[in-house]
Amino acid sequence: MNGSNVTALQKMSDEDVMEQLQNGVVQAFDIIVHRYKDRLHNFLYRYTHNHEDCEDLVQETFLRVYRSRYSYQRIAKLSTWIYTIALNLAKSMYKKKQRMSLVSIHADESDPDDRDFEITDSSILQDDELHLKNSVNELEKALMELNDEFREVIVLRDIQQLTYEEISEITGTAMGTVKSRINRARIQLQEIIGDYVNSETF
Amino acid sequence: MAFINKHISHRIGICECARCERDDFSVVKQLSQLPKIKAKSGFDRKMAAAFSLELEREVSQKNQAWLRKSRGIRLPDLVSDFRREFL
Repeated sequence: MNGSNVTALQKMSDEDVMEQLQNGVVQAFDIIVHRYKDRLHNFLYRYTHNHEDCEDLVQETFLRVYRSRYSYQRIAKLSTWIYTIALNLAKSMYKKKQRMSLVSIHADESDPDDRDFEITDSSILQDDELHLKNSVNELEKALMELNDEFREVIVLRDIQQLTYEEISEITGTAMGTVKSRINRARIQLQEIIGDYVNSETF
Repeated sequence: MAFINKHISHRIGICECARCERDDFSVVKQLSQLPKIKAKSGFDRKMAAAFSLELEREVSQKNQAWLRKSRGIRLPDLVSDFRREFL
């Protein structure tokens, strides 16, 4: 495939690019990676909260997209299909990590010498930039405190800006349940962050 | 009855009103303004390497499948004949 064909691919819709990939045009894969790499990083980072895991998951998602290319059908949007793969991978990685943590050595909470210390310095709050950074950290920490079902819908809706229909398809959940979960997740998140994160700082 | 239904759907957050949609939650605005996480600069290179391995794996799988179909031919025989003849 020459340069002009690559230019043609760049102008195509996601679904048309996928069709090209199904027809054996390997360059179509690069176009898909280029279009989705940042979106998937942003999505999976909120899910894993770890850059290394996130990058591995994004890479694996793209490889799965390639391997399963013939199972994609145009009845679904390509973005929905890719997010579904990414979410399933993130869930299985999370489960694997949970199993591993059962055999890892944790700090002994009953031992006063064996616990994490949080050192707070009130002077940093005087600096607006640092305050903003802290607020973002608090919000991200709060996101991680939500249960999986709540976190996935709120990330897909409020960070990735997907529609309820898309979220319903990706999570395989009824629309009413999606709406209800989003609402409950927002309330819970608001409660967790309380008034620490002041919206005026954003 | 309609009022009760509307009230219930509002309470559980599945109605289409502004509150349930997004406006009443300051947290929604904050979430949408979280810094966007992007792929690191080396990601394309790593992805390209992983993809080329994937293509190799696919070719090797196809070869294996072809060999399974053509039972008379075995790759090790071909390689040892080649070594005997030419190396």
